[in-house]
Amino acid sequence: MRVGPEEVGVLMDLLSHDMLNNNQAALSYLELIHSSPGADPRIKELAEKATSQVRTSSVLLDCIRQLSSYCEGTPAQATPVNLRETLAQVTRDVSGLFPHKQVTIDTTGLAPNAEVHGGQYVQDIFGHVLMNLVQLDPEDHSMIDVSSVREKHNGSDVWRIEVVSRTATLPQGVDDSLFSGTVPMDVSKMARVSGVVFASSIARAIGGRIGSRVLDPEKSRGCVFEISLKGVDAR
Amino acid sequence: MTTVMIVDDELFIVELYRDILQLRGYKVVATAFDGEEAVRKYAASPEKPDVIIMDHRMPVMNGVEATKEIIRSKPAQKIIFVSADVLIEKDARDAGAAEFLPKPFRMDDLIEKMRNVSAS
Repeated sequence: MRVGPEEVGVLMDLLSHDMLNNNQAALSYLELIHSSPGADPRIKELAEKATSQVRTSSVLLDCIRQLSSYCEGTPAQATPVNLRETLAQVTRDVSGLFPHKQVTIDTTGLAPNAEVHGGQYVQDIFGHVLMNLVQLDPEDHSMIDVSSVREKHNGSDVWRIEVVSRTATLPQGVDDSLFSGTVPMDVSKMARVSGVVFASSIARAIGGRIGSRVLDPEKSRGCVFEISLKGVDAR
Repeated sequence: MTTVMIVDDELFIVELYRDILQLRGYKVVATAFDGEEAVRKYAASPEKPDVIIMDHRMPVMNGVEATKEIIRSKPAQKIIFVSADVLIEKDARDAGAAEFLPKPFRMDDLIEKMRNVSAS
């Protein structure tokens, strides 16, 4: 049996839509429990934890919805976006997903004029990478630095953006090949990095790439995600 | 008391909105499970609801089409469009929706939009 990508896209869209409705109901009833004045504080705390899980599940469903649009052949948007503005929005979104963690994303290393092609997809890429980094970080306070360097590749502008966490740990077996799309994908190695793997697929679809490395190999601690995206040529 | 009509094809979502809106002091005066039923019930009701909460994906007639029909009969009708299809926002607003809320949302956000459209 073989189902075509367009049909798979439609089915993924339909199913994820219905699942988002289920999440909506679950979230709203949890919200009711959490805001109920007479509720036991312990119950409220548990409701908050459940809320966080359902929110993460909704983000994953959003990924499935995005994938479905790729299966249906939606053309990639090539509109230019400013990286600082994009990261500001992503920082707000990611921080909101982790109510029990303090998330600090320092973007002062980003060039103010750094602009890349990719429209909404750029926000999606950084959203997934940052979310994954926070999840990989055992600390209560996740501190992430983002910086950019402009390079020339075959005469075209490319922005190489480094996303660095000193405390997050890459799962064993995660290396550049996982994000290259050039080798058969081994899902057994993709545990805990599905967000970055997804982001790398989006990056490749818009002419970019994602790589990763351990920041301090001796201590196996800290990790760096390197994201290269097509720059908007300086005028 | 602000009156509300709920339009959504999922019974559990209709019940959810009803539960929460009633707890927050709103009066749900009508429900419909597709766009056509919404347009028909709206036309037949002598007292129009203050606010309509409208889903998009529904059988028979979708939310954008239903919004157009309702706004055609009463241009000042306040409609809050609620959908997981974020790309439909422009169409919803062009059809006459006063607000758009992407799913999943917090109930407080819905209540705030209810207040905004009721006050405007």
